[in-house]
Amino acid sequence: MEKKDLNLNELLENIRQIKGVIRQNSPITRRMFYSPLVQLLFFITGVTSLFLPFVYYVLIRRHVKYEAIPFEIRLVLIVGVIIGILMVSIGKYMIFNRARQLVPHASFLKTLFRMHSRQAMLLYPGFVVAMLFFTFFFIMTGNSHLVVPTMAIGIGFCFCTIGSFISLTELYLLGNYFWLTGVIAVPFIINAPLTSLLWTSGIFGAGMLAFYLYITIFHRMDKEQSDDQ
Amino acid sequence: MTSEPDFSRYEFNKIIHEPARLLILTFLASSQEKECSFTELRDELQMTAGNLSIQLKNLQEAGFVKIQKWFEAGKSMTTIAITANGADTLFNYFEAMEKLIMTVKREQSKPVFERK
Repeated sequence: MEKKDLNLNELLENIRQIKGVIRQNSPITRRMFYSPLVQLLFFITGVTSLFLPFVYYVLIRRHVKYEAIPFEIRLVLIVGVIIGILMVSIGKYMIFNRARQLVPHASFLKTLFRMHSRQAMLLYPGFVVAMLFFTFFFIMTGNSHLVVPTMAIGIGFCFCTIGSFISLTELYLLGNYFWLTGVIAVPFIINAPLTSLLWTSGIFGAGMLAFYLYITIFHRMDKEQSDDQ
Repeated sequence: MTSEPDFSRYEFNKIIHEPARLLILTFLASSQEKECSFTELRDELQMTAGNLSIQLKNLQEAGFVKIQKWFEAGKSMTTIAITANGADTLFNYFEAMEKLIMTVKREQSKPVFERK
């Protein structure tokens, strides 16, 4: 009985490994990861993640607290963040949907679930929505001091989910990099929210740019490969 | 009393279920390269050219592989690539296999009198 169990477990393990390899090399995954729009998204997200918290940091340093920042500047920042998140979301949807059309009979959700070896990645939009919700909630209820920790925690979560997303490709080393930096960010979140925001977003942004450079320069796919059937 | 397990709920594609075709598709799906030459495929899978040709034709007709042929320096060249549809169907196949084994495992863990 024990031997049978062991064999079945081995068999299951082998099947899961094969599934992982198929997922990794699938034309859908290839098309998603090597789409020029994905590369552009990584670049924009990287630069924005590096730049925006720094602006926020400088403004808070200059005006001492969030409420003292002129309303117009706060509005521009918030609207900018919302537009940015919307553009990235729409862009990602478009890329995914275009790749999905390689297998027209497969449903949107089925393909989405299939692409992710770790279903945790599907929580990513939830983290972004929760982060935005709590940011606005704290601003509206006069608890602006909680905005920075909220953003830091939100970005920390995004580390983990994006890390797990990237792990499904051959770029697992970069995935581990994200995981590691996400864990490193935790003590900063606890001790000093503003510094932590800079650290987390700095590393996040740098990681995104590293990923962008990796897929564009060192792992460039030839034209034929992105033109699959 | 025992009854026959209901295999119809597992989506085993009949074209892929044949061992040679399963081998070809799994090899193509797990290769880092997008396409593979006919000779490489024949040598790696240790199949005869005739058998490989027949199996590839079946897979091509099902839309699971894409075959390209051309001439280079007077020699006929053939490359084979798995299509998105082929990769998806193969994934479904292994998923069905996984479910089947899970069912067997669950059945095995039950006391004898509770088994179907």
